[in-house]
Amino acid sequence: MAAPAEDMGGWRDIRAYLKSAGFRFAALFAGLFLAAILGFALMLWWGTAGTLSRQLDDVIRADAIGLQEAWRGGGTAAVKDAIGERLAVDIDDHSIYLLMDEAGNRLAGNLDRWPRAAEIPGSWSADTVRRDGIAVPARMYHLPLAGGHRVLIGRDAADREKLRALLSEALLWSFAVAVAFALAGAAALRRALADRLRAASATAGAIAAGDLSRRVPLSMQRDEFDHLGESMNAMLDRIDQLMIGIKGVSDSIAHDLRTPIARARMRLENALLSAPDEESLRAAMETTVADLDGISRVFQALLRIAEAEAGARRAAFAPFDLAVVLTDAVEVYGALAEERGQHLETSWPEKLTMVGDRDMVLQAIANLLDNAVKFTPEGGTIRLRAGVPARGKREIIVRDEGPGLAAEDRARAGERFFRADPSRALPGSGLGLSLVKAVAALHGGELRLGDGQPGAARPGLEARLELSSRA
Amino acid sequence: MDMPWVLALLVFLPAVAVAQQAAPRLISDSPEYCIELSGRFSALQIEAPTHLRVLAEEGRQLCAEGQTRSGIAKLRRALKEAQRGE
Repeated sequence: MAAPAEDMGGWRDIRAYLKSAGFRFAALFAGLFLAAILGFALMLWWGTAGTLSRQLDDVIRADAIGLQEAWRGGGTAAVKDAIGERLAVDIDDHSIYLLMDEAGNRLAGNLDRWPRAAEIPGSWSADTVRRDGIAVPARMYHLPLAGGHRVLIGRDAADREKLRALLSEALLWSFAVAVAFALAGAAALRRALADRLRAASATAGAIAAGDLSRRVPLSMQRDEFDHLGESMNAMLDRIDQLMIGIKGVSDSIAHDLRTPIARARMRLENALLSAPDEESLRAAMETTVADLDGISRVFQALLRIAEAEAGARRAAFAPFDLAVVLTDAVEVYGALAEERGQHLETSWPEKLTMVGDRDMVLQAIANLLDNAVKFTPEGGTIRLRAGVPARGKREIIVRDEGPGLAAEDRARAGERFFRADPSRALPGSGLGLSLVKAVAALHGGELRLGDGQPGAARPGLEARLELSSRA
Repeated sequence: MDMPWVLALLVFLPAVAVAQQAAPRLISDSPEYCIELSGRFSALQIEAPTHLRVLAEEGRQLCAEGQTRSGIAKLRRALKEAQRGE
């Protein structure tokens, strides 16, 4: 009873084989190869056997024209003479002529009777005639003359047929060899494809099974398969980074939020157990509410980053004037900088229209200014500039006079909860630049960080936020 | 022998015979044609060169000996060469 299932399995294997890309490529190769060979054979045939046939017909046609002229000039007698003359000097003995009158009487020529295949006036025919009892192929033309007379003009086509037979045989053998080569080539091509894809397939299988460390091995050939392998490896590296990032974010959320929650809980507990009066209890609760607001803000920032990264806010894109948004941001942070004794220098064109999410862009600018205010010392200068660096682009540059960021920290500056060592003592969640980076990506741009004053003891930080002005 | 084979042969063999009969025959290799060509050579307007006359004579001789095709070929060659000279 197991036989039918096995049969089905075998049939399925055959179908899978026929559907495989390797087989299809191989079949395409074999088809093209055979088509090329066939084209070559046709050209060869046309150039040899075809030319001979055409030449034979041309000779007969010229002969017919000559006899027709003779008929017009001298009637039956002239045609008889012409035929006699032509046969008399036909050293190769290839010519065939037969002149008959309206009653079917043979008047001249070297054929004993009219062939059946050439009955239709004006027709060409290929028939056999007997020479010494042996049938030989002949090409003939029926030329009708006035008064019911008719003349048959032909040539012995044995040589042509011999050449055709030889050529046919040679082409047949050539085609058989070509088929063998095509099949062998197709098989080799299929095998080569399967061999080159095996490594990628094995890697994909291992990754599907859970081994994310596997990568596609690359050959030294630098061909399309290696490019595919490189792309797959780059994709896997990216997935790996994202996985590490997600794990890091989870760890960071757990770590960064555990402390304020535990602090809030302890404060409430202490107040509950040992608050001397209602006033102390109220003060403890107010502080706890502020702590919880801080936690809520962290979650809010995380949600906004997630929204920006997912592109969910793209539906809210609308035209707005970036200059107005910058002015709004400066109103808040200008006052803050003034409080700290810092100078805020600004410069941007009167109008900077673009399409995007106004609130998100404002938030990103605010985050950059917030960092600049936080890290610039008293008496320092913060520079905020904006402009059009290229067609379809908008750029916002915030430069501070703080300690700046080391190169390795700059690379990690957009990661969630990342805080460089000098900033750990300052308030903040490590989500500010993550949001700026996400907003830049949402607007088809990027965030670039560099030294504000390269080479200086306190190089400061220059943040260039580039955005696309079109949705 | 099975009956179908016998029937097939009965039908096929006469058909082959009819086909052989039906093919027209070339008659330019007969002794009469030899004589006709010889007459044509003799009737040429100008005196043919000696080697052509010898060639024609060889052709006649071959025809007389029954080697008609060879004789006709020689006579034709002689005629063609002679006409070229005319």
